Amino acid sequence: MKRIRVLFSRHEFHVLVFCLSLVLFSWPLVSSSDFDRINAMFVYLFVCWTVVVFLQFLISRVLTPRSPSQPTDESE
Amino acid sequence: MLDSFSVLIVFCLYMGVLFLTALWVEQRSEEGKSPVDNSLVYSLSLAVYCTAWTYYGSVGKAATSGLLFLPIYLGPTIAITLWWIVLRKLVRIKTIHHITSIADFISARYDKSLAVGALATLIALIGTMPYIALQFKAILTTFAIITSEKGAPPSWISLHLGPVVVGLMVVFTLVLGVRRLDPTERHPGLIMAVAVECLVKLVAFLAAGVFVTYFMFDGFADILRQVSSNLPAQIMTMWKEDQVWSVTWMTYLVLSMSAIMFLPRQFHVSVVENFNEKHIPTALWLFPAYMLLINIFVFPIAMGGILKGYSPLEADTFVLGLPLHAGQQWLSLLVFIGGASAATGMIMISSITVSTMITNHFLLPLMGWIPGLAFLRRRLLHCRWAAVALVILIGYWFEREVGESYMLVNIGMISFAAAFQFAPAILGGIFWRRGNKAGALMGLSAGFAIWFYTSLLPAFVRSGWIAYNFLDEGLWGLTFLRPEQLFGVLAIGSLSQTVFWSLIFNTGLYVLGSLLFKQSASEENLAEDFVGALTTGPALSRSLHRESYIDLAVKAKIILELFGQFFAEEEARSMTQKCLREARLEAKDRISIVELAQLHSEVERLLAGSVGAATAHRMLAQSDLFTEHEARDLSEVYAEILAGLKVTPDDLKRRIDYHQEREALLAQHASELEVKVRERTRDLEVAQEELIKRERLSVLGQLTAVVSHELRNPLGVISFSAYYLTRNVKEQDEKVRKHLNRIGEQVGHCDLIIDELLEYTRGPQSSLVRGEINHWLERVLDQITIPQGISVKRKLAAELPPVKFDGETLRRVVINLIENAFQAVQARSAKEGSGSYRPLIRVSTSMEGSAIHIGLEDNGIGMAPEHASRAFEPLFTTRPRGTGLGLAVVKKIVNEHRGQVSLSSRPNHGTTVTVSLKVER
Repeated sequence: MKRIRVLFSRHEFHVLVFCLSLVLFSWPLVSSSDFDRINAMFVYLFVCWTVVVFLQFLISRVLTPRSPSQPTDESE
Repeated sequence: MLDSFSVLIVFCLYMGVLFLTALWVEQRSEEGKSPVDNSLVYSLSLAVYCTAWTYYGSVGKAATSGLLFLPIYLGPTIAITLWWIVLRKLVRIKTIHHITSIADFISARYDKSLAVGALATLIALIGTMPYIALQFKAILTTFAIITSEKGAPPSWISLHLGPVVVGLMVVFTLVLGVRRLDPTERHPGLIMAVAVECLVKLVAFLAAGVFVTYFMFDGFADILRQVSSNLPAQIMTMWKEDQVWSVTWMTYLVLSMSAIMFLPRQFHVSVVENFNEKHIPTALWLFPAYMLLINIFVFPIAMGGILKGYSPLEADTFVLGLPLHAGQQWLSLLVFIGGASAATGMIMISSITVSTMITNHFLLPLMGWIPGLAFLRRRLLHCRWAAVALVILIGYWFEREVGESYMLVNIGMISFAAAFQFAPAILGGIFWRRGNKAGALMGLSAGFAIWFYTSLLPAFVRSGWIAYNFLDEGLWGLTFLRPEQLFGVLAIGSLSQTVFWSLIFNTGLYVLGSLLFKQSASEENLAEDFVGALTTGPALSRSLHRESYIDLAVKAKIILELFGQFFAEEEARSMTQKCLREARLEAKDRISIVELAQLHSEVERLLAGSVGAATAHRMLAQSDLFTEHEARDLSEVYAEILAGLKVTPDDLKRRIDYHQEREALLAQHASELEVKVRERTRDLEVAQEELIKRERLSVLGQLTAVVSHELRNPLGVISFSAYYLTRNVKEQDEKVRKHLNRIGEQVGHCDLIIDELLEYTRGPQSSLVRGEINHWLERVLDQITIPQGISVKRKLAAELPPVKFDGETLRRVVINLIENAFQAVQARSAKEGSGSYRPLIRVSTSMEGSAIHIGLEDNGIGMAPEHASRAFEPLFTTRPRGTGLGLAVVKKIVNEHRGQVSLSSRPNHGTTVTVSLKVER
């Protein structure tokens, strides 16, 4: 569990999530060629969006201090 | 339809409730219990990003372009993932440098440049005005929709609502936003109002979405199924007309990723208004979740409206229109209030931040350049009020003039593209040390020019202000300068090419300028501060820390003089060098303020080791080691450190009180220790002197004993021979007898001197025994032969307590003193004759406190004061044949009794000697 916490607090992991989100929401995964599949695209985008928000929630939990005296994160 | 007066009343009541809430928050904040210092409020206030454009325009965009509305919110969601790295750094820099706006931030980073600040303000101002206009448009249009029958003329209130809303916005913003000049530029009341508005608009939009999706249709699945099977062919055709769909998607994504940070209002809410960087983690997920929720019904509402037969071109009003046309008046009112919340929140925040920029980066520099405007410096608050009113009025005027010419979403994207111009300068400023003022000026100028030429000018053309052929023919008829196909780029659309070219020119010139031109020393320090803001905390990020402007030679001379007050020159020089070595400053000519503080600490530490902490501290405080200017610089450094600690004022006061109390206790302790050390030193000196004296006396005693022994033998022989001659010489003539007697007397005198020498140099021999002093004294006095003509009177106090004394040695004291008294009265008698003078000696005892006094008073010749003060010194005498040891022996014996002896005398009046012995109970 501690390893997961450390992973989620690393700036490199935040960059990874950023890149992953960028790919998920970018061309060619979000394709416009087939407008008949607009419903599938709608579902895909909101599911991915929810996943990204959930990852951000996990990152947030790691960064939020559990007690007032606990440091939130290591410096750069 | 709803009654326009009722809607206006509800709107005013809603604004009134917000106003009261904001005032309550302001009051609580002044008491130090700010409800805004809360991550939930912070996260909600960030949703000011979702303006009326989101509220109404997203549905319109969904109807006309499918899912192309989504990247406006997906972009921020992606960018927010990096907030712990980027936003936290911005917030920390804001705290250190007291940043008040995005223009202030850019100006502060690039050598506090007025030009950079003014240029950033210009971009923000031009980029924000259409956006404010858009909000007014939303409020006025939706009010007309909700209060007017379709096709019927708008009501009187609807026609005159604009000035009412403008007035409300001005009053609200002035009272809650710029009531006073606050150096932190935080507005807790306003932020709480914005947070409440954001909550209301979310609830209202969700309510409309739920109604459309679940009451007008059978849920998401039903709408999606009908879209697949029944969507009108012309809609699909309209969507497919957008040949650069994927480019536009990516353009929106990039623009919105930048807008969430660099729109002036977003920068203000997320950076300037941030109370605590610990609020950022909550915002990291709560704000994206908010955007997810507020968008989840956008597509169903848009499709629902189209499926119900409404035109996609009217889709901007679907959120309000669908419930209204379904007869849901209260829901429509709620939706209207939600939309008004979205619009008013944006107007207030934007007008505050833009007016701050105008006064700080336009007006204040102008006041410096134009002497006639200098009087405005004392009226800065009034200038700020005027700026707020002006911004809101210009926004309203813009809406009246060009608002009808463009769809809402297009105006929004023009503002996004303007904010995008800040991205290279800000991101470069916080991550690239070499980024400099020249680069920022070149990049911002180029980006602004591209944006103005490719986005704003076409908007003017479409509003009919400039000839339409300008778009087709380009500047001066040069087709490659056509604003919407700049340099012949045709395939990516107007907005995308704005982003494309401005990204190339803005970023390219920023990098090129930074590489071509050199940073000044101050800019290097600022770059270090900004880039390293998260590295070691704010304490070490201040430029003053590294600025070596203090002449070390001057300080070394002061330190040398300081040490010279206590030590020899050579030693003082050595200690000065030691301090410089310890502070690692030996090889330096100039030092920074922090290095001077370290040197000060070393000097104090070294000096404290010699003269005590308190004295060292005082001496350094009195020295000129810190000039007034340097002390102020050091205070600034400490102030930065304290600001970086982010403690509440109460916490800080408690900590300072604690340390002050601790310092006071330490100083008191040091002072007490100093006194004790002085006392101990004095005791040790006395003890040392006594020891030396004893050693000397011991040696002298041994010598005396040997010499006395060697002298007594010949003296005995001489004495015996003189006695033999006196007895056996038959014919003694008078002259021989006289010489023999003289030999005998001199031998006796020699014996007396030897006795006194032996007595004085012997070790302590008194053996103290408790006894009655009066009885003992009577016996001693009775044994003394009193010379004729001298009267000795006794006055012994009755019932004296027993006291410890050695009868034999103390007898010697009494005899010595009384013999001195005999000699004194005889000397006076010889001097004055036996006429009226009556030689008198008084011997007395008395009890005072815890001591018994034995007094011997005579009315003899007395002593001069200079003689009286030396009377107890060994070998001091005024008599020609005296040994000078009599009173010294008295003092020695009294000391062995742990008593005291004192003498007072007046010439020709007499002398009093008092021996005091302690009564031990």
